[in-house]
Amino acid sequence: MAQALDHEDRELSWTGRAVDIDRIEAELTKLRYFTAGDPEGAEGFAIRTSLVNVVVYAEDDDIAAQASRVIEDLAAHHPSRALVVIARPSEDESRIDASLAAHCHLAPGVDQQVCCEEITLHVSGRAAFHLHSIIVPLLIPDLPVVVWWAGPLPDKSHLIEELCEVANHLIVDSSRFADQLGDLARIREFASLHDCAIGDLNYERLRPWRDLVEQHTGTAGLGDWLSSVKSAEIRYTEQTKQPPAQAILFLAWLAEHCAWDLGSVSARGSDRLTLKQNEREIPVYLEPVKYEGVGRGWLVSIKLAFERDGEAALLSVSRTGDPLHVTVRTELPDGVREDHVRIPACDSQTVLMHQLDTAPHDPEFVRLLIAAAPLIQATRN
Amino acid sequence: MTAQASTFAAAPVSDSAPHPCTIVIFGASGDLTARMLLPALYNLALDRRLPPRLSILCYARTKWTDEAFREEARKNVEKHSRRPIDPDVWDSFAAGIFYSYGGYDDPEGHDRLNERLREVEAERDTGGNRLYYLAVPPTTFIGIIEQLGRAQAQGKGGEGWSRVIVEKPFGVDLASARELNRAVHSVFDEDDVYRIDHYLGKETVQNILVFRFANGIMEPIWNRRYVDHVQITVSESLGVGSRGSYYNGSGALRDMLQNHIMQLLSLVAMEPPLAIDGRSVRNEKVKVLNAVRLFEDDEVAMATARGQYGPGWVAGEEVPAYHEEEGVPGGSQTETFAALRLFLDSWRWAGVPFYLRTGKRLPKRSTEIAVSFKPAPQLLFHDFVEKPHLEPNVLSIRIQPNEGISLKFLTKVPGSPPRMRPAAMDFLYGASFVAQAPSAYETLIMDALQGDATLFTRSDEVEAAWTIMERVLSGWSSMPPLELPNYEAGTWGPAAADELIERDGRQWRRL
Repeated sequence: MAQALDHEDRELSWTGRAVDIDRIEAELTKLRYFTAGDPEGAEGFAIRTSLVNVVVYAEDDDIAAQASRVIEDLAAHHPSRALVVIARPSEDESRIDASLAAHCHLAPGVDQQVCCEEITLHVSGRAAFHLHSIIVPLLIPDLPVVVWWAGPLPDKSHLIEELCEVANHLIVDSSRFADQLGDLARIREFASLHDCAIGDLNYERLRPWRDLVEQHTGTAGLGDWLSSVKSAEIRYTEQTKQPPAQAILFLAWLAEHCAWDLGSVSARGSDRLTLKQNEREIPVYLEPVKYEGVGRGWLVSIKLAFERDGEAALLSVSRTGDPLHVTVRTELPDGVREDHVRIPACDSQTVLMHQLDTAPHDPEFVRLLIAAAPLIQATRN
Repeated sequence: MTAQASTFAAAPVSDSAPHPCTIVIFGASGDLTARMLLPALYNLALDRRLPPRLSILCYARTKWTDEAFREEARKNVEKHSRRPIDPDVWDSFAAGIFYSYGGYDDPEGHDRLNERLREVEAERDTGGNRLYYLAVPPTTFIGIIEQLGRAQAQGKGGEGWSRVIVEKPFGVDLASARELNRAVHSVFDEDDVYRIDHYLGKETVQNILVFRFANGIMEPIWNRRYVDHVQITVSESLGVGSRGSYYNGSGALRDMLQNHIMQLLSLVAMEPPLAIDGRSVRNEKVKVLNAVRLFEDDEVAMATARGQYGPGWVAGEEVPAYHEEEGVPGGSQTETFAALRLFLDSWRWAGVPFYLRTGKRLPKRSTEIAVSFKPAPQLLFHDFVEKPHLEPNVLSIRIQPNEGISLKFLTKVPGSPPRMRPAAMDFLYGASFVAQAPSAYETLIMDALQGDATLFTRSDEVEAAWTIMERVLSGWSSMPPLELPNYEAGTWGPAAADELIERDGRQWRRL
């Protein structure tokens, strides 16, 4: 059963139950015609545009709805053909329910709308084990395909492998993983077996923290101290008993930045690690703290203590009461400096946009994940 | 024969209405007549494009009366027409439909047909103009042609013009195509023979000529100097369905490559014709086919790939292997996928590979010609690029679905750091021309009525295409049998197809 295309302000939509791909394609074509030109000539032309295919895998309707809002908000910067897939492989009946929507926005400065198409697919039963056969016909030819795995990783990998068969780029969010460190290890294994590039929104959230540490250890002041880290402390919002993926990814990045040997890691419990730099041991403390306003397992503060020739120095970055502001404090023998810095929001829309901007061809995350394998292993044990 | 206004002629076609005539359809009870021919004729009637007093005399083995056949015709038109039935138009259209029965090579049946034909011609004053339409299996072509020849020899031909439309496949190899041509030419002049390749009736296929030769910016870059390679893909998501028995004797090469894809190749690669008319356009098309470098047997393995689908999933549905389809014998070696790399030995295209592929049970239905241009000569944007090389500009002509043309080019992503990303300038046929286009059969039947053979294949084209295919078939027959199936339904064909293009450092486009 299907409804006709509606023209409601800035959104055209269609819904069909138990439909086949031909029907979806036919309705998509209608949608394209509607958005490409108004036969009545009353409203001028809308521009249908896409620069990328974004396939979103959502575990349930709530995640799908959140993802859909993100994709819609991104349309102005990354116009895309979006496919939001909700798979229900455990259901008996093998079938596809679909809904289509064209999101249109007024282009700045002109009396034209820019429209992007979104296809939401509920795939049930055995068909859910063969998602690529449903997705491929609905992709726009010759444009990159980004798969955004918007929820936790599934117990078995076949669904993610199905989607990656069609993808140039897989984006996950390790903050949503049920077993964050275990699933990071699975992603690392997955990366070694598949061609598609992989990015992590959770790692993307570390960008302001990495930038600040890089800036302050690249200056004349602390730059000379980089090889003299005495200890490190990473605090994060409370979550499960294991340290969260964000803290471990930051530590892996920090270790590379400071040229610590990640292979040398040893753990005393999951909250006290030791790494080495040229046989010198560097203790790292991982500590959960209470903090409101950001996601569970996100960084709250980091502190690096330095010691050289009997002199001490310190770099700390700490969220203030406002999650979008941090205090950066540097203590050097010749003085103390404190800066209050606004950091970008790390909501899904912002970090996804960064990923779409940069990550498809940025191998940094996977390289880091491979290097961090001993760290993840040690922390899990 | 007098050639009349071409589909492309400057004057609207309606200004050169065809003469009254009778269309004699052999195979009146068949699928083609039900699904394509009668709906096409009805839609032409709806548009008032048919000549006055047009009569349609249908012939098949089934014993029907005129009335019974008209009822059947109405049901089929209701089911398959692109527009609903208008009762007034239908009544007038149906009044011109007649029926006669008999075997295709049965003299008695043909005598009955001729008698009926003369009655209809006299009653409706069609001037003896006849268009025979052979909508029948190819095995019956020669029998019908012989009977038409017999009628002509007995003075039972029409007073006006006589033309014949022949459906594909035109032969199963070069020898049978030549035999068929000899038989047809024994009764009809070549100018009166209209070999249908319905691809040529598609608006987007016709638009290839307009796009190339009515736009000044294309022709200067349409050559070896600027074009890196060309890909032509005709992919089907369907399997052989109920055609297993027929298809197994044919295969992808005969069913698609020899005709549809060779026609697309001709249109893309041809030189500008002297004029847009049947003779000039077809002269140039056949030159392309004659320029195709023929394979030696030992070259076939490296320049071709073939495969047969196994079971798999297509569009969310589980589908059987080819050898499990109805009418397909076990152990069949028939290919359901074929890919070729061709070179044209011509001044324009020397050294430019043309990659052609077609297959059944591929992930999606798509027919597309993609012209991939050579990259910019110097990489100025080292810091902008996300890959070690620039993505090429690609002009893709989508024949179906989503008919249109798009040009891929690199553009700067707004903001910093500076990055480039491919974007597509997209022309969507149906969105720019909101009115529904006529079906391929409407176009082709109208052209045949008007005596315009531009969009039909000529005997020398057919034979040239078979000459190319025979070399492939010969090479394949000299190779050991394949382990089949060798591709899973729902994938883009066998690994050998990827290897074929990857050996040249290129990749098939993701459609």
